[in-house]
Amino acid sequence: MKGGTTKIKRDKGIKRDKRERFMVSTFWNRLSEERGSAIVEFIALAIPLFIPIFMYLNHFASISGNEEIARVLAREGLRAYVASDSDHAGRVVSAQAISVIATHLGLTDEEIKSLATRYECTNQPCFSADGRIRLTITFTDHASHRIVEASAQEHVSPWM
Amino acid sequence: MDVATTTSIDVATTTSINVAITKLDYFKRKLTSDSGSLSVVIIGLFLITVASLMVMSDIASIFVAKRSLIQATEAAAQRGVHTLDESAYYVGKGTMFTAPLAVINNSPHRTVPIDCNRAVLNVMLELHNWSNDDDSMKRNELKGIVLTDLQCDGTSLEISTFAEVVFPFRVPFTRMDSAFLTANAGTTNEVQEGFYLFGIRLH
Repeated sequence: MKGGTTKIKRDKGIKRDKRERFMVSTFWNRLSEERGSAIVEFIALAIPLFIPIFMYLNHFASISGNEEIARVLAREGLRAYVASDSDHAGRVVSAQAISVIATHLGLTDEEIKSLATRYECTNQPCFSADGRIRLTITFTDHASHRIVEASAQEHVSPWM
Repeated sequence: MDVATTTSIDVATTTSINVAITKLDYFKRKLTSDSGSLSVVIIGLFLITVASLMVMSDIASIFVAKRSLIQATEAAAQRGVHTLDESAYYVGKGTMFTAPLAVINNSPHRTVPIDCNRAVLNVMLELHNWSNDDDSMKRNELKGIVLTDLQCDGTSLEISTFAEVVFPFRVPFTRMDSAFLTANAGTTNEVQEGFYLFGIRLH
């Protein structure tokens, strides 16, 4: 009885050993064969190389586009200010123009909310004859969270 | 030289030839095998993509710089046109009936004359101002703005400018690292309609 139990145990051990050896050999065979190597190569090479490129491309396009928009906003906002009748009216019209143009040029709601304008004038009050006014527009780019800034400068007519 | 020496030299030569053939076979097998072929393709594509990216960045910077140059040119033209030629403007005599008659007859306003000599000076001052700006008014890639042409007929002003834009990247496989941009702007004065009293607009 005791001898029979020992034999069964030995048989089980041999079977387990065989199974383990088979699994190890299968694993090594899997590792050494070329099937699927293209996928591994692609993942190992293409992703580290191309993902930074796509990230750069995305940020560059977003920043370039938004800088172009900021320039247009600064230019047109300042034109609206200079062509108005008074300082107060100029600021109101300029703010309206900037808001409308920003919406039409496709800035997102967050970008429009982050829009800030700064007027620098050589004369006081700002809207004075022959004065120089510089308008600086800043807003935060939604994709890259970078601050986009652009300025424009214009002289008020001396004959206003 | 005896026979034994000749045989040993022959054996050595044959062995070295065999080794060389084996190495050649090994390289041939390496060259013709498919393993690692995708890496070459990916690296090649990567290089092409990087080169295209550099070209695209350069083209984008040209467009943004062009917009900047146009703005500077427009601002200079606007400033130039503000120079009123007073001697030409205050010519002739007006009476108290001149303005009402003009309104009744719906006669067009006279054009506002420009002092062309002062206009040139103002245009150059404005362009100099934009050129020397280190802030956000002008793109950093844009070098000094040069006035190339100014046409002034006394009522309107047209200017042409020129500037060099330096690329962020040298164009791959070429020696090109900058481009020249030109811009034109024309402007004229217009009388603002309205009823003014002591410089204050009433209507």
